[in-house]
Amino acid sequence: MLLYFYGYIVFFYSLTLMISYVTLLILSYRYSTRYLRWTDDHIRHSVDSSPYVPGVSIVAPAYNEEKTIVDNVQSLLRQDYPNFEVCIVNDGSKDKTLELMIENFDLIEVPYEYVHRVGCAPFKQMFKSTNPKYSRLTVVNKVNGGTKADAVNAGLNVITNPYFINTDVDCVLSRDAIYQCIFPTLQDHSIIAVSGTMSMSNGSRYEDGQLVDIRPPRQLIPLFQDLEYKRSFLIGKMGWSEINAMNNVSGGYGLFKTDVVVAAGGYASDSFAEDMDMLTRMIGYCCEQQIPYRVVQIPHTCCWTEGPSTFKILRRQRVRWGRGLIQHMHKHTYMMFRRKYGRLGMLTFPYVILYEFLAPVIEFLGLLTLIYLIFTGGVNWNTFWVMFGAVYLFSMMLSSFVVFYDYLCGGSYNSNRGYWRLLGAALIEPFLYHPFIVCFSIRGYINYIMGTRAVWGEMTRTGTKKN
Amino acid sequence: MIIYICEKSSIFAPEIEKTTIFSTKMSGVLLNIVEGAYAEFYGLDVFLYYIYSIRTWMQEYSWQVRLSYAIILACIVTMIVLMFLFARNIRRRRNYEDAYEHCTKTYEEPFFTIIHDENMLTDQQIFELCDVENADDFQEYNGLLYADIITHIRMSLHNILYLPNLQRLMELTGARLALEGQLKARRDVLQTLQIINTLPLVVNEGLLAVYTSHNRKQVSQLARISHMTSSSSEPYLYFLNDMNEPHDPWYRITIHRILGWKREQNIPMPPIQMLANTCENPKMAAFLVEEISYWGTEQEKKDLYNYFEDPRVDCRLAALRSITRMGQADCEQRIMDSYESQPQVVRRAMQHALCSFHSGKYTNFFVSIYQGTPSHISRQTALECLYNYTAESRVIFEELAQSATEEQKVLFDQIRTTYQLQEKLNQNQES
Repeated sequence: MLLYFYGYIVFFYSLTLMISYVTLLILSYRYSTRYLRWTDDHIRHSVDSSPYVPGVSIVAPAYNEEKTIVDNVQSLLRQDYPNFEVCIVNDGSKDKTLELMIENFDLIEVPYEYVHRVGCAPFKQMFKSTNPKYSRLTVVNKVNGGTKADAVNAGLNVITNPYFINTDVDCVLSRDAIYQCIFPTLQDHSIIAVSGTMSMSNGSRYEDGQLVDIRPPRQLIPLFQDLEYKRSFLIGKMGWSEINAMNNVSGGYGLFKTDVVVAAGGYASDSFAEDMDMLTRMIGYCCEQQIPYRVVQIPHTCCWTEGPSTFKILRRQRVRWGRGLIQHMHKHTYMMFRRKYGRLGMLTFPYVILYEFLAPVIEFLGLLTLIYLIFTGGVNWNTFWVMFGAVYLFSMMLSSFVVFYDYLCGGSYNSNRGYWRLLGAALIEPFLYHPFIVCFSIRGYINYIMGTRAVWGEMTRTGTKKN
Repeated sequence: MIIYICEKSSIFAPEIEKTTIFSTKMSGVLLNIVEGAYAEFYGLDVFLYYIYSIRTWMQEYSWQVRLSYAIILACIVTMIVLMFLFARNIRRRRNYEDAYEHCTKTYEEPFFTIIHDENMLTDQQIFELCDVENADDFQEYNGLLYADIITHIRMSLHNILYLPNLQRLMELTGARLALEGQLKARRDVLQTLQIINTLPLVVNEGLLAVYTSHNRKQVSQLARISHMTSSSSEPYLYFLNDMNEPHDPWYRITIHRILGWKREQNIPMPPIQMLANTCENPKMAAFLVEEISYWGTEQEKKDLYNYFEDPRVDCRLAALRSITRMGQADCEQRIMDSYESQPQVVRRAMQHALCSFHSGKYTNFFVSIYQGTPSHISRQTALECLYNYTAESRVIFEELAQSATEEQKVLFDQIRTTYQLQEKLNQNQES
């Protein structure tokens, strides 16, 4: 009887989840087609020919990045936008990250009266370049704070521009990344955050700090992640963006209004989902102060990042994300079903709990139930295969949409063949990748509940960039 | 419509008279009668038949299974449609890219030379540069393709406000006509208006009029801005009407460019100062005050000091920014006169303005601000002004630095190093 009841719950859960995905698909299509009507030429021309464009700071924390730091900084400096600065925060690296930057970018130490607008570990030094080529570069050296949030806060205390981009130093930005992100803010002054689409750089070729031959990753793990990222950005976030109910701007690449971030208290160093936490507090602040706000996702791929290529690193990353999600939910439960917090409290938060937080638990229990039923002979195999086929084909359909949207939005890859590879990955992803992600998320939840000591860990870079 | 009903048997049943069919309700009764037969349905009955078929499809299975089958069917159909659309899009894009590449190879260089030319060229000169005999030779490619190429070239010349040959080139190549055709056919209106706006291009006023009251704000805004460039009778009609509406920065950015384009051609400008005085929207008013420094008349520029006492703080700041940019030293005394009555944020802008004149009269004024203000930002501003004002004020800056505490010295060092570094960078850039 219990199993019968549970079966119905899971069936309805899956059905409503599918309906929500279809709704997001429609919303994201509406949003992306409307956004794509703005031509790149017009965006660039408006920005380039005006003295009124706002300044943008790129804040990128670096910790033990000696393998790639020089190429990465050069890549960040190669932006076409007329008014920007790059602020690298050396978060107490133990290797030669700082020395390499000093040597390669002709940096000298400059005195700086540091003001703590938002909290972070102690500031040590500030460096600026004497080379006009790197005049936009500022390097902040600080005591290691243990988290990315702490390092970004140090950058926030130094920058003066009204907008900043929070990115990772290993990310490669497209040359027009700032244009693409700043344009929505010029059209709507109430926008407090803009999320750019991200993609995997594994498998692509670099030249002169820029990606020249963009291909989908060759290895399976990054390829699955690429598909996962595209699904999340082009369907999930863009759909939510249409109804102004986005709850996360990725820590990998996002543009924020500096004063709102500072007013909301900056990034929380103790959070394992600092990006989600920051945006939630920003929205919370705007709702409490009754400031009109909008958070948007743009369909253009602005940023390429090197994804974990081994299972070990992937596990560490996803366990941390799982832990971050439950921590975030726990911390901001007070927003749930409160009209004061608008769509975030009334719609997104319940959705995230129901379909993002609970999904791995339900999937895991479902797997266990299936195994139990197989052993007890309680499976109606005909029905099983039909339902399995429906779920599998639905996931394939979502992936097909993602591929189509990506192509419509300008395309992430140089060749169309990349999309066939992505579709191929979609065929096997539900069996080879997704079950592990479910397990890692559950591990993250358990770690949080048990109070296991959390470790950020280091992402091992291959350092394949060629300058 | 003839529908063959065959659920189990493939044997044709004798045709049933229409009267029999239509005397029966469209329900299970009818289909039980005609199972294995074919029948003719008309009008609404065709739809009712299909609804019935869907309702009774796989009736013997549970609804969960039927729903799963429906999902499978829907997913397969959607994926087939998607693949078709994908292939069609790839083909279209590829065709466009090929045509664009070919057209660029032939015309990019001559177009650039024509557009970049400061003198007005004759049609014959344009034809010669493009190596064609007359305008008909341009019909080899679609006018929209030319519009795209010319827009790209315009992009690379964004620092030049007015390009005298652009309009004529657009006309000769048929690009203007093609863009007007898009507006007439209501196809890709937003993109077309963007191109018209980016160039800017003078188009048929009547075609724009359709879109000036469009229900999509972005379309109507772009059409109204384009009206400013295209209308010869009443170019500022919508600009004046929309003055008090809330506008986003993009609108102001575009207006700035259009005003510059007009100024370059000596087309009569709107009365910016008068508009700034009457505008109820403080942000728009501040923008107009700042525009005076770019496109205002000499008299308007001289009168900027009048905004020091304006009730709108944004306008005061805009006036001070304009004065600083122009280095308008005759406002020095007026700044000093109104300094005491201003809030901190305006005072800081005033300090910057005074510093930009480099007259040397107010060194002690900066010292008194540094010594008297509790605000860290004001203190920093005063020290920056002291350092940059004159050689004499820089000496005083150093004297103050010597008498400062260790904690205070950091700010002095910061300012000194920042400007020294800036000077060094400038030197390096020159060398």
